[in-house]
Amino acid sequence: METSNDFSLALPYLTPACATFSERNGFLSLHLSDGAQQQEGLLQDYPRVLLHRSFPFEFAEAYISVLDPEQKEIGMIREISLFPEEQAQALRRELARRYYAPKIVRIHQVKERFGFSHWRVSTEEGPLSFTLKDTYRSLLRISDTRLLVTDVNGNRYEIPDTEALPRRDFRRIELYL
Amino acid sequence: MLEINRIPREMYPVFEEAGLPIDRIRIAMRLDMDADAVRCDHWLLVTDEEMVLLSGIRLIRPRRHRPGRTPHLTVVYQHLNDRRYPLSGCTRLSVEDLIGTSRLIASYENEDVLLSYLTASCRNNASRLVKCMEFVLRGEEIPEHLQKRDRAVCPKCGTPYPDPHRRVCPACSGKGKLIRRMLPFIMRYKFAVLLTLLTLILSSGLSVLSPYISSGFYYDQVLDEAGEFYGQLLLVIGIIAAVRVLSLLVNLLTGVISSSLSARIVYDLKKTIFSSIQRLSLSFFTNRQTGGLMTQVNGDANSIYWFFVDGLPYLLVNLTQCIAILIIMFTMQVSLTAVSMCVVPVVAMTFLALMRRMRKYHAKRYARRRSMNATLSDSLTGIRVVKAFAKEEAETERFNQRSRALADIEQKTSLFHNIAFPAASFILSLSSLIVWAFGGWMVIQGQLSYGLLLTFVSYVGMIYSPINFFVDMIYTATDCLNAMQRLFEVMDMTPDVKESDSPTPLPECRGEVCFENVSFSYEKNRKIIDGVSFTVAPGQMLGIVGHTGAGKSTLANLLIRLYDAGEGCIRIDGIDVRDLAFSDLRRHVAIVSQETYLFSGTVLENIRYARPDATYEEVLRAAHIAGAHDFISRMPDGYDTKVGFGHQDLSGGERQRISIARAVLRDPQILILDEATAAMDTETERKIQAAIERLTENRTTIVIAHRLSTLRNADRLIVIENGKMPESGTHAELIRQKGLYYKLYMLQMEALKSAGIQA
Repeated sequence: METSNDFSLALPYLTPACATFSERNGFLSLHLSDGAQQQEGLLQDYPRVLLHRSFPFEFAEAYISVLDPEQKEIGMIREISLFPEEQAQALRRELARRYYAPKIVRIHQVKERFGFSHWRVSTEEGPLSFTLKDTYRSLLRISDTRLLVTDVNGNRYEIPDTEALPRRDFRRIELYL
Repeated sequence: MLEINRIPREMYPVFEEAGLPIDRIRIAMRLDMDADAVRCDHWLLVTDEEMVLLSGIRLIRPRRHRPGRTPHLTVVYQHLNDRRYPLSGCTRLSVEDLIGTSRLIASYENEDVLLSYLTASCRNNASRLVKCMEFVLRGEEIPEHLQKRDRAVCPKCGTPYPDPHRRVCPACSGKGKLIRRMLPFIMRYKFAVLLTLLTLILSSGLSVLSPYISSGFYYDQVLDEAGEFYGQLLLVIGIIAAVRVLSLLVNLLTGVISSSLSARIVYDLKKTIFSSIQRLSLSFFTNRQTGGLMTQVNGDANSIYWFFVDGLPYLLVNLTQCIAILIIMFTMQVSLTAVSMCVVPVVAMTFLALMRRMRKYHAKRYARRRSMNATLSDSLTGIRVVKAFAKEEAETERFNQRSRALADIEQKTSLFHNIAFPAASFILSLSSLIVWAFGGWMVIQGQLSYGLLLTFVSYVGMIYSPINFFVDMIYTATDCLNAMQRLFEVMDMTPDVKESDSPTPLPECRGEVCFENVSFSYEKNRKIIDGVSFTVAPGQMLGIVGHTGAGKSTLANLLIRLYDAGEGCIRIDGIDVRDLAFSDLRRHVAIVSQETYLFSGTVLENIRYARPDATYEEVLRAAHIAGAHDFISRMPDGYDTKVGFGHQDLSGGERQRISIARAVLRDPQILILDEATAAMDTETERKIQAAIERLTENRTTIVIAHRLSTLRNADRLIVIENGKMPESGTHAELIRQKGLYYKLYMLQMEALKSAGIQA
């Protein structure tokens, strides 16, 4: 039962000088240089860290929180591109795996039955079909034209631009917007 | 072998080739992603020695297509690579949930290895695999209950439910079945329903008859010299008038019956829905939004009512009317009928197009109105914040924006309404010109009398409204079927917490509470309470200490059976709480929880909620003990002050005191105070505690608190941490142990010291 009275005023940012990311056993791992362990309780090596976007809808590659497997924050990445190319790529790969959401490019069918709606779509990764419960609430409007769709199982899909959809496809979802 | 996913035939040779004959495989599971989170068809096979991950792609190729035959599909599995991990040294498998994916991890003694990513569709299977692997890694047999599929599958057709928590099979829920199940509701009013139906048929019969008499018959038989009733104007006009009066009377009767019928059916339905919802356990309510429930009660009752009172009867009537008109027309003149019927598809298509467009407008208007109302209530509820940050103008602008959007769509809707419908009826009138033209030609040819032509034209006009009705019905019937589906779903739902069929009576309660190895979880995999055991002797006071979210309140909820323990058992006076009648349990145990809710009504009614037959003196005494009497007396209307939604606003501490008074009035043998005094200042808390102490002499009390000072007088304390109970004992014992309690105590003491107070 430790009280958290270790709130420091400044956010601990991880910079290329103090943090090195690499991929090991399929995980993203972090090594902190000696001087970087300013905060008490930080380790030198983290074989497995998690990345968490602070503003997932505004910044895909900035303000990324680095967490240990217990979801405790180690530090924050201000901007991925600040890191050397190889590390930046590893970070991007990890983010893509964590925030997996196929982009929907065509909507072939939306069929409403007993409160569920059954969708048949094409994504950038091929054709998919899925079911939504409570269609209206399953569509999260990120902006006027960008949508995040969550199906019954919790899978996420993205419609990056509703205006880029073919007219007929857009009509199929127009009612829910 | 345990097939978490069934192995398709075409995979057998692939497994064989990889050196894994089917009889060596112990567990097989399909994964839908590989270790780079790329979608693919991927198998995890567990043998006695190792775990093998076979990656590949399932290709579906059409076989050579012969004309006239249905094309066959061949599934070919293209094996790409495999990865192998030994079982020896592996301590456990686990699933880690990420944002859009999850991943399967194998832990070895000094490092973790990523096996594969998976999407949420595989998530349930993965946790089953993890559970099975616990046994495999320990070298034990996989227990029976894990061998069976626990997936929620429709018992009839075997397809899995789209949502396991909502047992609705889209393939099996027939519309006919729903309606049949609904009929008993309506059949309670058999007589009224039959009467309505009768009058409706009568009135439609009369309306079919009246153009026949007033146009065709009138011209050909009365005004024509050759007619049978030539010159008998008064008689025929009299008949026409009588028919009209009769149909008016019938219509009036229909109105009277159906309005009383509809009100009663709606009332009935709302009652059913509300009581079905109330009956359900707390877990139902925590999973849904209250707003959704309220629309469910109101909206669903209305749309179901619509279907049975305005929908079905009129459907029957319109149908019979249509058929009757057709028969009459055909018997009068076949070729002209055929020509007039050409109009029907045009009419139907026109209405369908209009309706579709109109519904879109309505849906949009509804959505925008909702968003405007949300903005309005948002900024009005948050008015303190708005003022504090001087955001009045921004809020006005935000509201204006929504309001303008709504006005836009309102304007479009009414514009469409005002232009499209006159235009449509113009098209319809054009179509009736066909009948005029063809019929006129026939009259000139002498094949048709003028009167018959007039009759025809009015019948064609009469067919429009049924068609309109049918088109409208398509849409509204869907809404109603959905509402019925939801209603039956709620009615069929069995509450998680059920009262025992043959409860053990407990007229007098000594007040002994005993938790035996109790475990509980809201969700399947996360234990909130994990193996907690303790006993409270009659008349003792037990204090429960722990961090926020440690599971303290859950213990209280389990005791009063808002939820049921998953494992272990809770006893009162040696009787399992599950064997007690709800009425006995609630009479002997009262809880004052941290969420205080006052119903709208007076203070008096709110205190009396616990025992409606309590005398005024008892209420005064209870309020006095709870320390509520003083502030209640200071209010102008005293105990008759209206509180609750839209009335007098009470502070958090005042609300808590009223709820304590409520519990005191109930006079239970076991009293639970769950942070009941947290919103009061320490001085008030002390006073109330002293009063409660006097009251709770010889009563069992369980006090849950954050502030240790609240628990000064506890006979025994237990510490809850992450659902477990690491420490228990008296204050002195726990201090001596120098464990969690000691730490907490020291921290709070330090805080007091630094404020210059000696405790």
